[in-house]
Amino acid sequence: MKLEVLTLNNFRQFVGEQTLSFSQDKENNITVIHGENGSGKTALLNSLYWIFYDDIYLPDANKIVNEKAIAESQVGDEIKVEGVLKFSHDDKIYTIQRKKFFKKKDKNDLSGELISEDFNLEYIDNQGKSIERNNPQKAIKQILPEDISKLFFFHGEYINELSKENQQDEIQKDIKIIMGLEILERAIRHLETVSKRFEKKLRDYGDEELRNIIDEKQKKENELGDLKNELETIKNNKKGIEEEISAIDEKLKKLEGAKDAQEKRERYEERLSKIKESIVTVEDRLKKEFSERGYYMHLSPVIKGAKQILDRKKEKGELPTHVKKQFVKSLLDKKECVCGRSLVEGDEAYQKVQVWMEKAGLEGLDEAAFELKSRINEFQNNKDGFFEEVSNLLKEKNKLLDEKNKVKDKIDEISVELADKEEENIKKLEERRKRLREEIDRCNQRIGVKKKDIEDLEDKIKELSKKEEKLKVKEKKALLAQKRFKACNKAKEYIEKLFDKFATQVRNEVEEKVGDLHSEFLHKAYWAEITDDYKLKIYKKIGDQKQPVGMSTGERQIASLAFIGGLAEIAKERYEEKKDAIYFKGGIYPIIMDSPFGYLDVVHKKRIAEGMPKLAEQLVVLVTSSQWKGEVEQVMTTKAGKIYELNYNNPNEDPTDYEYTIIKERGK
Amino acid sequence: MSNTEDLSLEVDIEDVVNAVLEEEDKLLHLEKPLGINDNIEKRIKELIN
Repeated sequence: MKLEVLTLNNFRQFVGEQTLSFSQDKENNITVIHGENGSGKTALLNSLYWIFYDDIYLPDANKIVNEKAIAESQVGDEIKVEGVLKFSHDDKIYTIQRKKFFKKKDKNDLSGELISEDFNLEYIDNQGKSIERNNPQKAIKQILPEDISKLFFFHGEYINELSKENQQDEIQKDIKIIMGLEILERAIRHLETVSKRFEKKLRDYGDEELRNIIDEKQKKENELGDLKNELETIKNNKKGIEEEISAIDEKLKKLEGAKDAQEKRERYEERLSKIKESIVTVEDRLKKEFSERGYYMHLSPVIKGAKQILDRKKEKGELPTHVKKQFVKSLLDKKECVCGRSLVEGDEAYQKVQVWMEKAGLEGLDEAAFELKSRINEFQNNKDGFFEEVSNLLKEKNKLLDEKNKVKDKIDEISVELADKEEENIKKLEERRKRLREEIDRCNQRIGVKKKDIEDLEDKIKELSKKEEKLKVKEKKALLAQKRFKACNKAKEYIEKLFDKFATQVRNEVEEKVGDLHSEFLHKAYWAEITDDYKLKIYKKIGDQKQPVGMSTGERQIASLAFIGGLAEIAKERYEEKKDAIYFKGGIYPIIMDSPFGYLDVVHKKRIAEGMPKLAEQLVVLVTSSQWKGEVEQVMTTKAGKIYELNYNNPNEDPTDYEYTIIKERGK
Repeated sequence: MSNTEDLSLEVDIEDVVNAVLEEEDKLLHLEKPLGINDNIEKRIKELIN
């Protein structure tokens, strides 16, 4: 999708008909729109939501009609509010048009009464003929799903939220939507429902044994549903408690007598969460060591035994063997000894040579013994390396656990200090906080138990399902239902595997792209990673170890920008490679950013401005005049294909004047 | 024959998967894809009859 021309007519503060052409230049792919605070940047961003989905995310969302236009109309007049967007998509030029007509009810009416509306979407076909889409809203949801529009058309505050700790659900959702993984997820869900329908038929036509299995499974599934609901309730409860603790923390920070202690506690808590993360990293490395080299522990006695046998043989002089069996056999076959004496079967000389047959070694035995010895030595070295690494990791873990306990003690001390304060309000807040913390510990315990119960129950259900699929049925209709039921389950398993495969692939790709963009934007040796549970994490290297980094607001903004840019890039690559794929299609999307420089310092503003053209094929940047002036203007003027200014008319106290904005193109 | 012997599906599971994904694709991006379960059921019945 590429935006071409936007025309607004009396929409919010944009008075009369106003047009804005987006840059189509491949090099200078940015359209910059700058204006004072309140001049309508966010309204402009919202005009796109309105045109596409009839949604507005602004205060007074129902007030669409321009104040000046309605004020200057006569009572009973109709005022047209219109948004028209021309864009290209999949080699077609589309025009989307949303119109609403408002009637002025009385002299003081500045909102108007909605009397009619119209929405249509048309495109130009290969012969240049204009064709209107029958179901425009459905077609728009196919071209630009609303979830995707929120990801790529965003306000600075949204991206700042994106890299916060608790945003992994949002990130996971975005990755799934953009990469088409959602279609697989939906298919899994719908196959579950259809499978139930076939199962019902199977129960209806099956015999008693089958019915009993299905009933038992149903019972377990109900129990599982209850358990999952309970788990969800506990998690929500925990989230609520955490929010309450955060609110208490904010209150404490505002109280003079508690401010310092609370800030100190926050620093300790941040430290504690980093220690916990490091413990998880060490535990993961331990798990990896055991899964890759853990067998050394079990093989050790066997290897030791083999070494003892080899050593004994060496001591006895049996190894290496000096005379080979094949050589003795050739003497006996030739009937002639090495000394030239004839060997006649049965005589003394023959028997003496024959005795060597038992003592001599097989061809290759020495070589094998030598090989075995060197392997044993190699094993010994690897085994020592494994034990050394495990011992180091355990030491590291213990050190971290000690540190964790110390930090916890410090946090407890602060809690006691605050609870002992003379000020009643501080005392009360801290006591409440302590009770809430205890409640969180209880929640965590309950979450652990429920998760285990869910796992057990799921195993039991899986077992029953297998029984159900394999049980021999006689009735023809039951057999057919059973086959369909089994096909549903197999297809579901197949799609689940496909989903896991793609999800990992996508995560790795996103991580790589985000990492590249992030290191380009950020003036520090940090890098970004998407963890297994889709958390966006920033790390730095200290010695050989990677350490998670706590991010400032500006750094979070950079990480999020890199994330969105990374997604846009992958979606585009995927789209160009796999246009005909059913799933995992990707797409080309413009990025529209409102106030992306909000929390950045001078150095990073400049870096982001420089790197911006790489974020997407087409970019629209809305900035305040103060964010625009200086470094941003310097860098972006050379990168922008089009620059617009929002000229805002401020009515101040003049009752005869109204607020409105004029979009004005500015030369580069 | 044991009464837990596996039943042959007589259909390539990838055909079932593709049919399901085709149906999903038609209604993708709709918050409530009405009739999707009926469509999937129909396609599976056509493949296994």
